[in-house]
Amino acid sequence: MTKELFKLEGITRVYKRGNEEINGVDSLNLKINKGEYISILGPSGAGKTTFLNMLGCIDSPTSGKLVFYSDSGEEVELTGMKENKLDEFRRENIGFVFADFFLLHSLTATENVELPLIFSNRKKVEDSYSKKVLEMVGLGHRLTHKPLHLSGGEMQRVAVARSMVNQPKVLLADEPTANLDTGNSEVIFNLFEELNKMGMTVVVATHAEELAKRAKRIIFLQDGKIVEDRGGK
Amino acid sequence: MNFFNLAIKNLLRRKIRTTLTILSVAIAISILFSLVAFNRGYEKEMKKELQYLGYHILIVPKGCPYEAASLVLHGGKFPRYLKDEYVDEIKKVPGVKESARLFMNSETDSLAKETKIYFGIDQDYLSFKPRWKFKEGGFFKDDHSAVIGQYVSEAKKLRLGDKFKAFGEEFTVSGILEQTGDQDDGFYFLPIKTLTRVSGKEGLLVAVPIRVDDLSKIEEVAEKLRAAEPDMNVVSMKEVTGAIMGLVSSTRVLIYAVVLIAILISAVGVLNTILMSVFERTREIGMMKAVGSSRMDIFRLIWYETFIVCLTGGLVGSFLAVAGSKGIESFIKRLMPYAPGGQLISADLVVIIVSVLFAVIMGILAGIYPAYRASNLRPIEAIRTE
Repeated sequence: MTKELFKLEGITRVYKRGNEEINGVDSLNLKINKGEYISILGPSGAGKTTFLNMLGCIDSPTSGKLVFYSDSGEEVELTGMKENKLDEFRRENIGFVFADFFLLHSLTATENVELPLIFSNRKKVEDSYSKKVLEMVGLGHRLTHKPLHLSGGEMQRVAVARSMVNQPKVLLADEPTANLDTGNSEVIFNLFEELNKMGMTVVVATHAEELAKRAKRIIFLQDGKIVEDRGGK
Repeated sequence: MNFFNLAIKNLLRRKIRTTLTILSVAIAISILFSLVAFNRGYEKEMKKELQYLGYHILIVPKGCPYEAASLVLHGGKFPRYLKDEYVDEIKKVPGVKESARLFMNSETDSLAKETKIYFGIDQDYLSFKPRWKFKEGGFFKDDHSAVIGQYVSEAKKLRLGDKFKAFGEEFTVSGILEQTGDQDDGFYFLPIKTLTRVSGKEGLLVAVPIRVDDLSKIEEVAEKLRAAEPDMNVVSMKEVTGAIMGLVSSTRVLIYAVVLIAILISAVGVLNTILMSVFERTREIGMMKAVGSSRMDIFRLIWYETFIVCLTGGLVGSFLAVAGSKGIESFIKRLMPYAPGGQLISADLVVIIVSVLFAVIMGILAGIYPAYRASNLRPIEAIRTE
């Protein structure tokens, strides 16, 4: 069985800003293995978010080839895949964590976590699972609280729980501690470590070098290109 | 939680806006409900009223026959009259089974701001009113007897044997009718000879109702009557019904145009509200797509929200229309020509279903565009939106 999860071949994303063309990411060639914990480091505009968006299939590359390997080792080409198939792919394989949390303020913590289950029609089967996941991230006492009654760290933990609830293969976190203090940032990265230990592939884009160093592999990006891949095989 | 709950929670996030949108739908639907119910009730009551009259043909003075027929139906002062001796000629026409003499006059009490309608009749008229039942007393005992409708008895507190004045003379109540449910409840019936005398119209009539031997020959008998005396208008009740219903139909077209505009305005309001909420939630929709929702999921969610607003508006509107049916009825009655008595707003299950269904269809249509817009947002663009 293959150990690879993603293979990127010449992935380029060009954005147009007026007449100017900007490379979000430029000719990325990379392999990501199952169970890896990767930090993406780089200054603002280096292409970290674009890179995560490509992996998570919420944006498509201008050129290049992105391949995903299923559990059975089957090669699935994601570039050029139809929108509805990509929806399905994201639903089954990707968990997203954003810097802005993106929680719905009218819903409780449990209901926010349930959202992906509703979309995958698994709500009835795994009604209590969302509560278990919230307990896992240390929010068992905040199940019925709405986001406005939670701290920033707690909100991000709800967001992490939401990303985990569908049991995805890979968790993509884009600047997950950008709006958090040091203590809460530590908690979030501890969570990522635990999830990785449980077998989940984790890819985190961050500015915070100290936290990034906790990953086994660090990819440095600059101007959309990989300038260093420390710990990569 | 499921899709439906999520849609409700989304709507509750903007309570005032949602309430106002529901209210606009409710108003449009209550207008639709009232008018559909009114139309059904109006036609039903009109047909019932004409049926109760028991006339097959009505002879009225020359002039507009429909105006005269309507005056006979609802009371009033006649501008022209028939001669009493025509009745003898009418009785000789083959096919005429029964006829009666009718006179009508009204008296306005300027202090009380009301008009009393007096119907002059004789014994023959009773054969046209088989449904009449006396609650108290009976038919006229003398020239100054009076039979009154139930509404008159209650409103004027007139009991059997009580006296009242009309055209300067005193009359005694000899009989009080049981409720008929039509205009007879509001009339005073006096002996025709007395009424024509006090009105200064001796030997004159306002109408002669006729019943024919054979219902299939109404038109044939009407033709013979027209030939017998050219100075009278012979109107078959079929023609009267048709003319009044024609008037109702033309009014109905205008009313439906108003309803259509109200519903269109309301639908655009719903569309605008939902579309605005889609724009406001662009990033949220992006997040939903990122966590695995499909286009169809987003379409369904937004569409549910529109559906819930319109369904609630439809139910609230129907409830409001039922609750306010009396007020709406009296308002519309003033606008409509020749409104019959009885309950005009017939709010049955069919009307409720039609109104709610209309609201639902409006929701389905108004929700399509915002749902389409939302479902077609690309996740990356939605998330990047500020």
